[in-house]
Amino acid sequence: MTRWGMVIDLDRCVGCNACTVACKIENGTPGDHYWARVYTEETGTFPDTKTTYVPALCNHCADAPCVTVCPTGASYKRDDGIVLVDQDKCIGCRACMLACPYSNRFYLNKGILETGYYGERTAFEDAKWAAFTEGTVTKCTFCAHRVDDGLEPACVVTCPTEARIFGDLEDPESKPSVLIRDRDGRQPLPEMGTNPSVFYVEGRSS
Amino acid sequence: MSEQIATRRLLIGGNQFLIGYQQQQEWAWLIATAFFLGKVGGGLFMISFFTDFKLGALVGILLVGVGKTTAHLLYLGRPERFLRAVWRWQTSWISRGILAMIAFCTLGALYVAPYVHVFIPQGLADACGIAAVVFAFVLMFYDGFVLRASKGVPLWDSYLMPVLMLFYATLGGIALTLALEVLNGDATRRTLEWLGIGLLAVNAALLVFFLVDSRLRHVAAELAVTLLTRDRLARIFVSAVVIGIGGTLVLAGISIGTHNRVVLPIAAVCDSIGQFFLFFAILRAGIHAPIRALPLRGIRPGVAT
Repeated sequence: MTRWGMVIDLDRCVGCNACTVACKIENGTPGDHYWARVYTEETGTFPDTKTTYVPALCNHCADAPCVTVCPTGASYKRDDGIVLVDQDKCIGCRACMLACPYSNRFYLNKGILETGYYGERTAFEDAKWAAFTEGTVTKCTFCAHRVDDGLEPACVVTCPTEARIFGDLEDPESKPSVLIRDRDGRQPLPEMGTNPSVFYVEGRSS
Repeated sequence: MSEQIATRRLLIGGNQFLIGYQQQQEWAWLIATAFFLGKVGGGLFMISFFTDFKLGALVGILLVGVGKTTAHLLYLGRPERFLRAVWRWQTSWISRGILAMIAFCTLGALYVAPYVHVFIPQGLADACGIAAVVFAFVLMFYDGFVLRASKGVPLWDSYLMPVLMLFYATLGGIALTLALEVLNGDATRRTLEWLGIGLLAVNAALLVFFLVDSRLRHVAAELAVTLLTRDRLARIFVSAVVIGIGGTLVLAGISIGTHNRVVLPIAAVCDSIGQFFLFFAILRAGIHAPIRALPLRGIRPGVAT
């Protein structure tokens, strides 16, 4: 059984946000909804400070709490591990947004689709926004439409430093599996018990 | 101390592109209202059922059937799909709560039908009343499990949450029953008054235990407790405790000591205001942890974010 997942190499990310833009273009997310984004993390005390860029997206957790709390079944998990939201079933209760420990879900406020990003809606927005319903919750789909066609997610193919590596976590020889094994891949907030399909690697392998 | 608070304020500065703790923005007034009405409505019905006070039972049903339902519908993004929310009762406490609401209102209405001069056999009404009490009981604590299931908000993800909800609902039910009995010109039960005072003490202890436990459980929950007790939500939270527990206790004491029952409706108002704002503050204090752990101590203001 396939379990799609991703490894993010924090040593490679330069914080260019190309993934953020690629995702927005591929999925046409409305307003300031960014399914793929790059967090900036500043640590330390002047003059010993450090900036780390942390790319983030839905972790498509194996034990997704968003799926468990959803009262309608709108949030569901496919057999290949991708977690999706059925916009026709979602009632907009937003319980999933509070259940997600990673803040990776977005609510489409009423009226958000009435006007375009720059005022009047463009042809691009007309085409892309047909997939969205106001008053419901959306999230990263791991570009399921691309994956189903044998392609990688938009954020992965766009990344100029190959910081995002996509593949089957069940296959021990896939690129992500090898990276997780060799470089001690860590899941975000493992104490939440969600078993994310996104791993982070940092620091060169020994 | 002020530096510590300033540091924590800065830490709650996360957004879509900046790692940090983020205060939840989704559930506020309407959900707090729905939770409050469900709790006190269920509690009022249950206490009224056991004291055979039909007016109280009727008001309890109305609080849930009209008040709670309206608050939920106003909050939902797609209210026309409301009934879809019953499908996932196997895993979702929201589904279980909605099912309990529907069953409670239906069975409760049959229970009070003879009281409002709608004829149904008394035996059937009594049987429906017993079944309605079971669902009222579920309504009293289910939202605690809804919050408990919110893994993204460590303050709420506490085993104490359903217990808190249940005890506060019972207290709210007692306070409203006593108030309605006074307003209706009925005799009140001294036992209920003593039970209410006992519950006030238990609830105060539970609340302290919840706050202490939260501080120890998770950094985000610790931050939330700071928000509630010493920071931007402290005014609401502390006022809710003073009015809800302190005010109610004083008035209940006056009622028992002076046999002046007129203060009981005022005590019920104090308790209701206190309960509403207490849980509203707890909702607003919901804080998401960052995807990478940030240290809470030892960071100077201006550096953390």
